Amino acid sequence: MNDFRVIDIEFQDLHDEYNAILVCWSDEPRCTSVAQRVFRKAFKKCLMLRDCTLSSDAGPGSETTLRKLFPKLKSLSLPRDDPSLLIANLNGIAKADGEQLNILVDYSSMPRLWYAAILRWAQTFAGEKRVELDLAYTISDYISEQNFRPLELEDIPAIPGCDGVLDDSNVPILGIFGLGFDGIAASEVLEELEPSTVYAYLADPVPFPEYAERARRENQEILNAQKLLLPLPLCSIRTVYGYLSELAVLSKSTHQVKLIPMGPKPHVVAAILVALRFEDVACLHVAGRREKPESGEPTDKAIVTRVQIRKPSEEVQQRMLRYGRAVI
Amino acid sequence: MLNVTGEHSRRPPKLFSVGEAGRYSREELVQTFVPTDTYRQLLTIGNQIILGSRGSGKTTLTKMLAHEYMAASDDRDIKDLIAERTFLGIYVATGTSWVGALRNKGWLEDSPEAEHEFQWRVNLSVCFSFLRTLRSCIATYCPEEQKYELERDIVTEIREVWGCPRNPVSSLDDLHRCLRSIEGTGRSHSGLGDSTNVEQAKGGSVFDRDLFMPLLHAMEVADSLLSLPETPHWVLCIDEAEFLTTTHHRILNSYMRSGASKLCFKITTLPYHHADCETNLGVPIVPTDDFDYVYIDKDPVMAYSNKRPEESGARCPDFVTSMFHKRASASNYEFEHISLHALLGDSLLLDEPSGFADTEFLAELQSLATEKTYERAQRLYQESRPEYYDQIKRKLSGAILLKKRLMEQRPGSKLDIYSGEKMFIRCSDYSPRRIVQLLGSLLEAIDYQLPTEQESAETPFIKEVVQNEVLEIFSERTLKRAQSVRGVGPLRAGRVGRNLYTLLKLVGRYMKQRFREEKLTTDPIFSIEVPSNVPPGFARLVKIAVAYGFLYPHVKEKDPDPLPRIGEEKAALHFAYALAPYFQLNPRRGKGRNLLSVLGQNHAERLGRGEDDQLQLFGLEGAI
Repeated sequence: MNDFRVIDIEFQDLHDEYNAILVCWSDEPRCTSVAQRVFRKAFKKCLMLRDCTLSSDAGPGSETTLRKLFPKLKSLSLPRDDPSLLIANLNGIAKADGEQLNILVDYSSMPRLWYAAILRWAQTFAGEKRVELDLAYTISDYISEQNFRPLELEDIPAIPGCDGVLDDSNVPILGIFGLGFDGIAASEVLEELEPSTVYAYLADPVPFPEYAERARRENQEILNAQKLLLPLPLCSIRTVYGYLSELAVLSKSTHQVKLIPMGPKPHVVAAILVALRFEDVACLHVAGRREKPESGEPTDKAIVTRVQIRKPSEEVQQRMLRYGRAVI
Repeated sequence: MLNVTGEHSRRPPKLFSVGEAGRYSREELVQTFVPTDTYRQLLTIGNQIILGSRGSGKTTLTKMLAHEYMAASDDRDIKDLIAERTFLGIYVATGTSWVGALRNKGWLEDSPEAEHEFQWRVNLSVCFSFLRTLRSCIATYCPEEQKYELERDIVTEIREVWGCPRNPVSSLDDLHRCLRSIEGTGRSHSGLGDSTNVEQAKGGSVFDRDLFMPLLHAMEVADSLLSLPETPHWVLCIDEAEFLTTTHHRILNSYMRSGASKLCFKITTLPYHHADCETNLGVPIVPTDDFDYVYIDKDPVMAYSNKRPEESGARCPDFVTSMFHKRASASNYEFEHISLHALLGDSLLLDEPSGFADTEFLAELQSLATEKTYERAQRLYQESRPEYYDQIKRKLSGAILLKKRLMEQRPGSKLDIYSGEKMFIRCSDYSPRRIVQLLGSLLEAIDYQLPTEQESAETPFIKEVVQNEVLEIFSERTLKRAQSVRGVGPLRAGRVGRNLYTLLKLVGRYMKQRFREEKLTTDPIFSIEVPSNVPPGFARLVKIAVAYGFLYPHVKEKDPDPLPRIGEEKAALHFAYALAPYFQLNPRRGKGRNLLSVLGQNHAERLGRGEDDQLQLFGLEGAI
């Protein structure tokens, strides 16, 4: 399986040319923020993904903005749970000449299963070409407790491609919870999953001073159950990826490792990358809906991450075969 | 003796704070297991579907049917069964994460590939589990000097039928690795929305063909090489089947209906989550003919006697008492030799009202009960003291005490009335998970101060006012948990959490208001009646409330399907006793009030449709 190299970068480190940019139209004001900062770059293809269940008047201004910024914008309407059309378009982009594919993805407003599918596709495809994904995320304003509506839990499927191994009831479960503000839903997952060991991580430091304290307050049940709590920076996916990989490597020979990211999206991306890298580690999607969806105003802060996907060298492949993936 | 020096952690040990059986090691589970009549009922050959609300002990029961757990038990009956080699249990769970990897492929939904995927995962999972059972059987039945050879011989034969590579498969660990590799092949192309890749990768494997076929082949090998008796009974225990869909259940039902093998099933699920008895054979499975339902939720009023065993003549100590002592002993906890009664004391509301003089009682009754009830009490008091006691005083003294305490309560003052051993057991709803969680909270709140001189020897270790506080917090937390409940398996689809929470709050507040404002009768307001004509969405919500232990149906003991058919017939259910302290109710079940009248018809329909109309809900709340 191909591996990831994860690097934290800034906007100024982005390339001047890309094979494609993927943006996502939604009712969130921040869905155009990245586009407004990068539209002068050269993109051979521009794809705008949209949730086919979302009413077209949900964010008409955003669509107009995106079309103005990218006149050749191609709109893809797809269901949240089926990325087939997205994958077919990515395969089309990959037919471009050259040994390397560079794709810029704004996942600020993108459903989890879509950016997971993009990462999974890149990982699978990279046997044929070098793939570099630049993932951009706009931080939105802090949502106060008064304006926050808790997640009403509907399902806890594995993220496709992050299934982990088939459950073996003789092997204890290690649940690694990424903490956000949905403490009640997290408690429910804890009760359903019944992990014998609980680790937790949360975004700290974060640009908003009250964030970490509130996340701790909302997740008392998880904190009572945890054996390890890691504060990890919001703005460095590389750090989060590194720590989670280490936890997974240290535990997966004795536990069924399940990542349950319920915090901010960059931390979710890190968890998905870990689960994709180690096929015996699962990443679960705590899915549900809110009475009033979260949608703060965009800030000028962004998190940009470069993910390079490479086929392991012959030597590394041999070591993987001999010792298993954990040592790599 | 109790350590009162304060030199220890206030946090009780794991066995008193973690209620989920899945979080225990095998040793912890075996050490703390209390064999009950229900358990012994399951140690029989025959298909059984075990229904129990969340936390009712289904996982513990089914794990304790697995050979590797039974073999570790000290219970004499279990040991005998293991020695006979006639009950060989295999445990497999189809919980959240097992099903989570099945349901994440939206592009496969309702397709034949989805059925194949299910069958493939079941076949692999049961074989993984079988390896554990096999390891336990070899360890139990084979002399030490022959173990290595026997394991090698069994593995050699099984690897052939499972299609494992010839080398290097010679031990159970090798076979396990081989299964992982087969699993990896099937998984490596998933996740991109392209089902053909998945099928190509799996095609041709024995695990992709008939359901249970790889397991049956392996069982035959084990029968012959382990020299099992002519009729060994392999028992497949499938836990957490509530997450399976109707299609999955039909596949399993079809297998049960065919009765084609010596494999029998113990399947656990939540109440109303085995709604479908249909098969793919055109003939449904029928309770008593093809399987039996075993409903394991118990009403603490019926199940628990607070009389000491020597008083009641009971053969065994009560389930809760045994649970407490087994856990204390396994944790080497300081309260090991202290009784629950010493910890918690008598219950003011629920224990026999010996201290309530009849004259005082009748005077209170005159002011707080209906005229009819008071007249009846007076008549019975004159004519028959036993009947007066049984029909009036026993039923109403708790309610009178509660009502008086609530009326007299000053703002900011604390109640002590939700306390005592019997109240703790009542508020646990006899659910093992609630028992453990509540015990943990109570033990955490224990006051390590020695009793003062004013406090009598009868003072419980945990003071009443502290118990009351713990029970109220537990009750509120139980109610709040309703917000995150979701519909799973056959009751999946639509929103649940907020509507369930609202439903429970409305019913609870209705009961609270009636209790406070109305005169008392001998029928407490703690139950509801769901008419047969409720909208389907509403019936579904009530079923989910039962499944998660917020409402408990009054079961039809002698019926093959003991649960009332909500939405098809009139059904009576009582509120979870755990919710009584939050709503300040007297936890006695009484006769049911029509739920639609309690809520108002329009409101019930909205809840049933899953509509989100919080403002109107609160408007209605205000009106009640």
